[in-house]
Amino acid sequence: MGTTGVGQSDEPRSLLLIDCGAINTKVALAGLVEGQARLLGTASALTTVTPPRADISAGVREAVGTLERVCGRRLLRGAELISPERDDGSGVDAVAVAASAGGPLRLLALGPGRESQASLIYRALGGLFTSLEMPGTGELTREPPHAVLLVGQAFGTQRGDDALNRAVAHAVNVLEVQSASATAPIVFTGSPDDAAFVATALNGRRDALRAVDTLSPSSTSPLTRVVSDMHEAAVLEALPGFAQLKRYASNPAIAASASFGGAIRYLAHHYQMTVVGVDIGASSTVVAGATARGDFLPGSRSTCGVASGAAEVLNAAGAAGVGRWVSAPLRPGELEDVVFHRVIRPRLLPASELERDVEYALAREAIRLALGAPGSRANGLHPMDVILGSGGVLAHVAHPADAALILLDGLQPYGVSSLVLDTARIAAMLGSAAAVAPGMAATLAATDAVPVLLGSVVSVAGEAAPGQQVLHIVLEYLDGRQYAQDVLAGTLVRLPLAPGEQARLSLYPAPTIDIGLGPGQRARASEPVEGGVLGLLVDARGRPIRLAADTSQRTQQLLTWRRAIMGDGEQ
Amino acid sequence: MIGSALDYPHASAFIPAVRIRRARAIPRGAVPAVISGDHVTAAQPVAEGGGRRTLAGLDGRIESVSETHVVIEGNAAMLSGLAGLGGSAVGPITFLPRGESPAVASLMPGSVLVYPHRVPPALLQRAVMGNVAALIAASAGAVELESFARVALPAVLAGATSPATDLVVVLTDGFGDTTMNPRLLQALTACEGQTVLVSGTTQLAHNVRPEILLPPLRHAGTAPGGDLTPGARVRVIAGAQRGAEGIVVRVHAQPQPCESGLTLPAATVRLDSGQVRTVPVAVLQVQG
Repeated sequence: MGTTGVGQSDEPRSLLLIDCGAINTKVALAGLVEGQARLLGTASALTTVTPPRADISAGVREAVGTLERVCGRRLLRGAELISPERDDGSGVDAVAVAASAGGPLRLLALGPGRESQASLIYRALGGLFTSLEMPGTGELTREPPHAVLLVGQAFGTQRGDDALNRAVAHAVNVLEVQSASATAPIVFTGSPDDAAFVATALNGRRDALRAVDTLSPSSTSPLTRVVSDMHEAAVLEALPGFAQLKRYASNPAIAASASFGGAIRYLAHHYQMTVVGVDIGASSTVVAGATARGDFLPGSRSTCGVASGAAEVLNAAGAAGVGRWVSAPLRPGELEDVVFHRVIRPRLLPASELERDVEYALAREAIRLALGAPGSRANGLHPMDVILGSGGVLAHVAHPADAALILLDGLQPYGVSSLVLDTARIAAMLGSAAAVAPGMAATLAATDAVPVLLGSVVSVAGEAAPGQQVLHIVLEYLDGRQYAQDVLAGTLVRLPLAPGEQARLSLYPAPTIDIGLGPGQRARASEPVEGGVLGLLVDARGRPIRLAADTSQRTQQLLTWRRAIMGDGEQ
Repeated sequence: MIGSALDYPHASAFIPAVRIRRARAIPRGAVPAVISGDHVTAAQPVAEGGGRRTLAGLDGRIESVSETHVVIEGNAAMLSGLAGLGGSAVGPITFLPRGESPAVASLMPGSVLVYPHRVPPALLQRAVMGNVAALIAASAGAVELESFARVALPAVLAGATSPATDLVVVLTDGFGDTTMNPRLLQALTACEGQTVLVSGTTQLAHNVRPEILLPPLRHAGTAPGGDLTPGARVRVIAGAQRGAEGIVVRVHAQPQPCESGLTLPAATVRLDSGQVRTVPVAVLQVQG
């Protein structure tokens, strides 16, 4: 498209958002309704990056074609997008593209400083859509690297030390033999003297070198920026049909995880609260935290998801780790069969209760793995005022209770949180949209990206024997009614608070129980909490959640918790 | 075109006849036995020496010859598998004698053995011991296959590593308990005794899937694929009804509640068992 068409103000009148995922391509159209930016419609189609349809723009056009029918608005003329918006209402002013298709940027870490500076490297790359392979850590090599990260010694190379020289030779050899691209870059972090040495040693590949300063706790961002900038060139540009998609876009495409992180930062700023976003995809999972003060605390597992990334979840969490969340009976090996069948047919959707249970179990573990990933800064974040769930598995749950359980079991927050679902599946597009239409993206983030409030949840931590009272809770509704309940350890409770209804909470924990203010500390909320589709939830299962070792008891636990928050008469 | 069809690199699990070109690797120590322009049969050697013979695997014309490869172009029927192990193999198609247990049945060395069910671990081991060239099975247990290959299954499926066995394995219908798609079995049965080319190579990220090249089939019946419309014959490829076939009664315009509890784009299918089920479109494969 080249240039962004705009209306009379600087902001575009309409915006097409595109998110090319590993399996599905989602598109959304936003426009002005009575002067305010609103979501006009969404659509999706299969992502087309492999034979028999190896053209990513084909899947985008198919999704946009569906969007045209949904919105009754012409957007395409042949293979081209109509832009800017015409007086007859056809076309769009701006297009924002985010993508996780093509997978993460694969980085191979080499060099004498890689082990001593591992924590800084992970910290620098924590929020990026990268897959870092550290030789010797037992990680499996699946695909050739897009680039090599060469790490020098923090204080420079000592005289007579040949390690850096050998690492350069190794890096060149790896890129010549394995690399996905003949011009694959080498990123060097280390002292200026070592950077000069590396530049000389690289000789013919000198143009491929990107050098940044030595990592330190206060300066990881230069490496973050360099690697972040490499995603489009190394991963997206290699996708078949990307050149056409790039022509549609008003701005450079960005990784979907970065786009999602941008949306979470905006929400934290907007609500002046700590917001945690969870985006569970087919091949990757992102947990992004942001505080009202502007801190951004990302965490992700770029190879862990519920479809093509399911094998990595199984590998990292183990069959027992995944299987513990499955309430349906499992024969030996059956879990692995379901997981690997999904891996080889990632476009399948759950067709039985067992397959659904396995998908939800994978989602829980994917969240836990993203939280605990090297470099994750979201781990241990407290409080989690707002928890936003995004991704296909959460948007299409069998019952809202399943989404709540996936989020609670995966994150295991404590204190008071609001659970929100991005059922329109636009949250992962909003960061890329903000670069094109910041005002419109901000309005969408605060309205249409958070359409379903599952409910507020009070989660408690602390030691208590099963069945022991851990909390006395009193709800004072705004119409003067009161509701009180004792909550027992090990239970999950749903209290009556209808969507849109508000009540003030008074919480009286047992002496050893922490509701986010310290053991035994009581609380009376000054602001009322709002009910959601699941009412008000109290999670008294403790932290960490303890599942029974006995299979039949554990099955009963899982079923009891699900039934408890589904509501009367629902299964 | 339904989504699941795109799992196959050629959009269908089975193409009865297609013009195709394949490179056959020349093993170290062997030399080409053909020159460009030669016509070869599937069972004819294209390279020999060092105690090994490389068979063409398909009828066709030699397109080019180099020190490392012989490229053959010819007509073939193509079956795509979902996952596999190993490189390529050539041999005559064989089946276990009817009624004989896979634990005791005799196996023909150098053959391509078809087992249209979930393959038991013992048969995998017996195939190796019996020098079977390739095993085409409906499905396998993931744990069992990983144990057999002695390498991590994700790495094998990514094409990043090779299994610790020379046996080429092709799974036509994936992991778990299921029988072979009858259309594929029919095509394989029609070629019993004929020499075929089998590749177990799998690279999921690039949608490289195993393939079986058979002589072109004139009476292959209907090939899987086509539109999901009322009256279409379909096979269920996941869930409790996996492997069942039936006729589409209705394709719903709106998502429907399905057996999994999820509300999904779905079709109502009258299964051959007489049951009528609402099944997600994503797990239906049109049989033609």
